[in-house]
Order: sequence, then structure tokens, then C-alpha cells
Amino acid sequence: MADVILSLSQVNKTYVTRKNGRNRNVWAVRNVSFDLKRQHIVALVGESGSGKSTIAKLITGVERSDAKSGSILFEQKPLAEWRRHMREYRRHVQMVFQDPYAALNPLNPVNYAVGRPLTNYKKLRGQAREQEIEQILQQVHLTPVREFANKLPFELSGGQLQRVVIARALASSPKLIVADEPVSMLDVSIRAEVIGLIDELRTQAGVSFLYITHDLISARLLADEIVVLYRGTVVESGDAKTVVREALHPYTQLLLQAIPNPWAPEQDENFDMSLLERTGDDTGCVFRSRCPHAMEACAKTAPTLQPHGEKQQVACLLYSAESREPVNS
Amino acid sequence: MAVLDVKHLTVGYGKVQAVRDVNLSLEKGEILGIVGESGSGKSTLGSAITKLLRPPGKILSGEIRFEGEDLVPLTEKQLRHKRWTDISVVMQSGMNALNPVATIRRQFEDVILVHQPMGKAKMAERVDEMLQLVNIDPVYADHYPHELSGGMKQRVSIALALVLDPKLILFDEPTTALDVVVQRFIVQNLKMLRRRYNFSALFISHDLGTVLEIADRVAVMYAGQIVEMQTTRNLLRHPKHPYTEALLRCFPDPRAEIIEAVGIPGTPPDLADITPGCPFAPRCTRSISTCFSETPAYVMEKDTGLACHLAGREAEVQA
Repeated sequence: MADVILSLSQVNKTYVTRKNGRNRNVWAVRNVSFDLKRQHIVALVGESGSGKSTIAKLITGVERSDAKSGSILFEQKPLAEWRRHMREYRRHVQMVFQDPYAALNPLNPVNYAVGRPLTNYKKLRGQAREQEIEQILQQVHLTPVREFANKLPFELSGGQLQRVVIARALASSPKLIVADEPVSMLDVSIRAEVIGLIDELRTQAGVSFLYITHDLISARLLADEIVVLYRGTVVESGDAKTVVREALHPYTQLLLQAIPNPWAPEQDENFDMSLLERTGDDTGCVFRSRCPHAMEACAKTAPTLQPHGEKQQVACLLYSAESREPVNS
Repeated sequence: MAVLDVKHLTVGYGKVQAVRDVNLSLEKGEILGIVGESGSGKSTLGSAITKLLRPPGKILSGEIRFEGEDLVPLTEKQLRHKRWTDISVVMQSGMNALNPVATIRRQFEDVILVHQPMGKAKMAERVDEMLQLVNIDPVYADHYPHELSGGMKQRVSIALALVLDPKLILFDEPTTALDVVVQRFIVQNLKMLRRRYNFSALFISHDLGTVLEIADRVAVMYAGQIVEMQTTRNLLRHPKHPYTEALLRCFPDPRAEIIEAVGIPGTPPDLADITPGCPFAPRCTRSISTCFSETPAYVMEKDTGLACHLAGREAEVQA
């Protein structure tokens, strides 16, 4: 399929740690599969330790996935092949980080940050480079451009800094931008601007985005599809609106319930605090120790992602092929 | 009598006034939420009230009455008697507030021995009790902070703040660095603890959603000033200040049929360069000419307050 720009299939990442003199495998990412279509935005949602940042590292080539299984295809070409042309790959795949205050060199002005990729990847110089910088700053609405171009990071607000970081990522004309929590450090009142900007760049510059967040609200605001991760596995995925409005997996439901909703205080009392405790066990469903609907079967079988309806996939025995509907809810 | 009564408090860092003429009071057992964006002065206000300001931060004027006594002129030595037994704090990263080379038990013992000495056995009992209160298995008492998750460490900080049964607790962004599910848990836990111990608290956060959930009353700060204060219920239903209204709109219901990213265009003013007029006027959608020339006064009435030129005018228009 030509319209798929990035495709992960059965990707695994295991870290080996030593504890009490013995090697122990830690599964950071487990059999993760999803596709990202051209000009689409996919949100990876999950709490700390769910593996969402590890996936970003695998896609950007910072970490390597387990060799024996799975594949990551970018533009139909496996990442292993791209590794021989890493410079070209980086030109196509850029990244935006969470903390804009830490992502820029405090000693260099905006035009330096945005200009470096132009020199590196596009071999632009002099006038042509200046023009390109201006055009990119225009694109991220840092106007008046000439004024911003010479500013140092400390002279800019958090929202403006994040625009510079996005501008820098855009400079190499990438096809895919991996944005790891790009708005979580920003004040709520300016988040909307950055979210709007990302949406605009997708339509106007034709960039695809992998949007990594713990926040289901912004995921729904921005993404076409949502992939919910829990302890390295995909527990639910599908159309953004459907996943949020008709969440199937008990973990997605828990995440939704955890969002403060002062407009519906009664929901408060239903929040089961025991769901916080988790004890790791590698057999069966990863979520079962926290799941309010856990059944005996959940300890034995690890559910796989199955389609549910037209717009959603869920990995949960409650919706297994035989029953199709929740067994006990 | 109010547990805390702050009058005309102004705090500065050199020439910049980060908190300007703030008035608030807190009743026994009440949780007052303070919301504001970065740079609004909410943390400075919290540090000033607990007398934890670091130079160059300085209280320039005003009173901080705790149970009737003004804390402003007190010396460090005099304050020491109040710290932890009367007033305690929980900071944003409980993870960094704990001593990394001491077990959880040691940290409790340190606090108890300095402020309210008791026997070893009684102390052990107290530590167990406190940990259970925040849903942590007492076996963790003999663990080191690095062996605990972020949420657990933050709960230990809360238990530590509570250990001597203080009358006032300052929570400064206690849930900010945590996962949503853990945040939710801590808020629930705090509500339970407040019912049980009836302490008063200031709960500072940039997250309006969390504040609305835990606080009885909410003060909204903008550019160093409180612009609106109301009971949580009323603030939600009838926000009076345009900034409060705009902030509320930034939190959409995720399950709504249509959902839209709403923000507040513009940026807060530079506190080093404050001009006359309402500080929110340039971002306000309803500003009138007076807003740019005169600074609105903060008008208090019982437990509410508002600083907006539009107050009263709307009633006129509607009538």
C-alpha cells in the first residue's frame, strides 16, 4: 500500500538487566503493530513505562528492535536497509521533544537552530538559506520573521520555543515527524495553538505525525487514529473518536475515568483505587492484575488485537471472537 | 476565626513584583485551590505564605496571619516551632524532596525527633500508620526512595507532611509530574485524608481540572494577582472573569460528539513592565476602553472576589 508511510509489524524490544547476579529480560515493547498513513496523525497513548517513548526511539533509529522478530518499514523499505543510509533517513524522519526549554542550545539564535538542517541536509548557503529560514519561520507563525530569527531561546516563551523546535524539524522537509509529548510542558491556554499548528502542517506541508502522549484529550483533538499501549503491548487501537467515545478495553476506560471531569462529579466515586496496584507477571493478559473484569482465562491466554466493529481493534478476552460482547460488565 | 488570613501581600524579586496585593483567607478544614499559568505568581505566593521564599524573593508588604499571628515579622527560629507541627508543605517533585540516602523510615524519624520527640516503638507505629494512610505497604518503610515509583514517592511526601497533624498544608503542584491515573488516585486520597484530619490546605496547580476536583474554593491568578475567587461550584457554573471563562473552555469533555482545541491567544504580560490597566485586557475578548487605562480593583465580598471592570456592567446591560 503506497499510502502507508510507516508500518510496524510484530515489533519487540527487550532490555536485559542484571538483578541479583542473574540476567533478566525486560519487555519494553511487545509484538507492536500499527500503520501510519501518509498525512495522517497517529497518537500513541499510555502511561509512563508503557513503551511509547521506546517505540519513538525504535522508529527514529536511536534504538534497535529485537533482531529475531518483527519489522519496521518506512516507505516500504525495512529500517535495517535504511541503516545504511542513515543520513537520508534522518532527513525524512525528524523528531520533536517534550521540553522545548532543553531542546535548544541557549547560546544560539533561532536562525542557527533552523538553519543547521538546511546546511546539513539541503546544502543550502547564503541567500538561499536565509530565504528558506524565513519561509519556515513563517510556516510556524513566528512573525515578524526577521525579529524572531535573531532571538536567543531565553527571549522566547514556551509556546514560541516549541514552534522553533517544530521549525527545526520541518527544515529538512521530512515526511514523518515523531513528536514526543510536544505540548505537555506548555500551559493549557497555549497548547491549542501548537496543536493547531501540527494539524496545519499535516495538511499544508503534507507531513505525517506520530504523536506520543499520555493525554487522551489531546490525542482525540489531533489524531486520526489512537493506539493505546499498556506495558509494551497494544491493548486497543482505531479511529480516534471511536476509541475515546466508545472505549472497549478496561485500560482505555481507566485512562478516561482518570481525566478530571468536574462537570460530572459523580463519576468520581466510581473510581476504584485498587486499580492502581500492579504486580507484574508475564503470563496472560498484561493488564489483568489491575483489571476489574479479570477472569480466570485472562491468566492463561494473552489476548491478541482483534477487530471489533469497523473502526476499532481491541486485545481483550471480554470481546473474544465467540462472545463479541463484554462477558460481564 | 480563619486559620489563614492574607492581606495585601506583595512579593518581589528585585524590581519585578511577582505577587501583587493578594488577599485571601482560609477556614478550618477548607481546601483553597490556586490556579494560574506559568509565571502567574502562584508558587511565589505559596512560598511567601509558608515563609520559604529564597532571596532575591522578598515580601515587600502585607500580612500573613496564621491563627491571628502575623508570620511576616517572625524570625527563622520562631518559625521553626511552627514548621511541620502547624504548617507543612508538599512540593511538586516529592521524588526530589526525599533524601536519597535515607530509608523512608529514617525520613519520618528525622521529622518526628526534631519537632515532636517520642519513643522508638511509638515512632515505628506512627510510620506504619502514616504509610497505610496513603495506601503504601509498611514494608516499604525500610526501602530507599529510589526503590519506589514516582507516585509512591509523592504519597510518601504527603504522609510526611501529615505526620505531625499540621493545621495548614501547602500543596505546590503535587500531581504535576505524575501519570493521570496516579494523579487521580492522589486526589482521591487527599480528599479522604482531609475528611479524616480536617486540615486546611492551599492546593496550587496549573491544572484547573484537578483543582476543581479537590478544592472547596478556587482563586484564579493572572500576572501576579488574584483575578477571581469563588466556590468551586459557582466558578464552574458562573465564572465571572473573562480569563476564568477562557480557562474553563480549554478543558473540553473528551467524550463530546464534537471536540475542538480551544486556547487563549496571546501571552501574559511581562511582569517587569507592568502598565496601568487590566493585565488580561490585551487577550480579553470583551475588553472595553477602561480596561486599558485603569487597573480594576479586587472587590471582595464574603468568600468571593473579582477584579474586572465588566462586573456590574453586564447587569446594567441586561437590565
